[in-house]
Amino acid sequence: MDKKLKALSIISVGLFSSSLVQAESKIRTDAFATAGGTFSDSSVPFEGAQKDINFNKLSRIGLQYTFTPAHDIPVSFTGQLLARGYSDWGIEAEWALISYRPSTSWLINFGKIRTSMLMLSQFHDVGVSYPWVTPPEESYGFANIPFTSISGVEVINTQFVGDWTMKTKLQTGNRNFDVPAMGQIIPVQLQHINQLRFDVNNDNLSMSFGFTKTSFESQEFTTLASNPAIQNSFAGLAQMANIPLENLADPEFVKGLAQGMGLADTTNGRVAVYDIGFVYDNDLLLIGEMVKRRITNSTFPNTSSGFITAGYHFNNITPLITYALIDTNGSIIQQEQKSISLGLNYAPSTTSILKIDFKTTQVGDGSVALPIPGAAVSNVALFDTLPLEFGGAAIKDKVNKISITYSIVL
Amino acid sequence: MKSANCTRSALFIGAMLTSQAFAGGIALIVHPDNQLKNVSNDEIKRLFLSKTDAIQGVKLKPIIQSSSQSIRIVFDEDTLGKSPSKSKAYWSRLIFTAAGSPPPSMESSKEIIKWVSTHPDAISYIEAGSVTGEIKLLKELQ
Repeated sequence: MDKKLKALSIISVGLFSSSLVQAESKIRTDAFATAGGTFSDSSVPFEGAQKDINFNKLSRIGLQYTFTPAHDIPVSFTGQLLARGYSDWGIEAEWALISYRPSTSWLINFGKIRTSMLMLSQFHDVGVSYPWVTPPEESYGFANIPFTSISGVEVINTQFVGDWTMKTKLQTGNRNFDVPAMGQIIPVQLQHINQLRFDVNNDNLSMSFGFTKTSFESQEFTTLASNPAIQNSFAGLAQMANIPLENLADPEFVKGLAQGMGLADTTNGRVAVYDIGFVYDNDLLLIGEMVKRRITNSTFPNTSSGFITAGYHFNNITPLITYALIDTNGSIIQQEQKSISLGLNYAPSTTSILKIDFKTTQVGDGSVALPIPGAAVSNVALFDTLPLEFGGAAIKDKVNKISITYSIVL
Repeated sequence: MKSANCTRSALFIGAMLTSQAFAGGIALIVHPDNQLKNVSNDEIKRLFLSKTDAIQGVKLKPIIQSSSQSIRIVFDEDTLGKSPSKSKAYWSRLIFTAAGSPPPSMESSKEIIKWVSTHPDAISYIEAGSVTGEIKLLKELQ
């Protein structure tokens, strides 16, 4: 275990041992943790799972502090530290925000805030708050949500009609992040991220509608053109077209060739994401969501994704089944897959839950990156590997994955 | 609701092992100076679920019983409509989205009476039979 994680654990234990909530307390401490493992019958990683069990993909620990200076001042400060196994347990400030409540109906948060894109993204890391091992990767994986927080401001208005609560949330901000692709890291800069979310709920039913719009820049050509595999493909194309290889030394020539292959830096990218979802949770559990992402002026693809989950609470045991899919268009990058998951949850207490999940995924044909003439078509989808053309491994059309997690909140 | 009732029974038994069993009405209490008279169940529910911080324009600071108390389970289920597991999931979502947090809790009705009697903006609940002259009975919940 990393020293940083040990330090976080020690701090957490120390705080919880003295964390009896007192009415006069100004500092509130909360925490969540998930430990788990995942493996699949694929020899290359699929959603972080391959034949050797991966204990890092699903494991994380979060520690949150809320400081309220005085009960008669409507201001509080919240910080959340999060360490994820797949990030080598490096501790990150997932949140650092100031909350101001000018009136009963309004709440304003400033700082580093969690994105509200998609219905469940704000509590994506808190295992006890949803029934799956992870929310369906087809909608909540890196393909749709490559970042979890933004720097900006959100304004939340809450209204009541009978036993219904209606919440409208507006977020605006920006965020830089990296997209791993073809063995390289592509820097992406999102500017003017504007998000609108409308939630309406009563005791058992909640419905959510969201819209996100942003502009962005990214350096996929600049990054990927340095990849030897892509340089080789340029050379192959030049030979096929009887173009002297010396021309490849000319950056402008290479840029034109890359553009012809559908690869260019994005300078004026536009993204729009629409989502609609619902949760019905009584003894019967039904959850569904559809997401559409439209991207213009960029190499990155449009995506359509969604899922439907049905389950039933038998006391503290909940079996559930989920069907999920993602499809892409409008890009040379394709990420297509459909899956069925069978899950079984056991909640030994109100603060913990054990989840077991079996997922079988059909990966779509033609999920390749660049259209190299004569190259074999390989599947990529949500695999963590390169296409065959770029030295990646052969990938199965169908992958079976088993994941087990134990989540707690304190 | 069969499974919910089973869960409630099991948790109730658990609570009995750790605290005094609760079998009676619940009294919603405020400070004697509080002018509120008629409050609806929806208003109580919103306040104790941290969806609002006021009833009829009067700002209030709710105090809840600790989770080891059987009266807490009954209040959560009957008044707030949340089983213990749903209640935990609800608060987890609020806490970890910085949208709110559960009210502070106290270990006994005695502590709650002492707190409410000395804080004009406090509101809480205790066993109906425990109401004293130090606090004002706002409503009997069952």
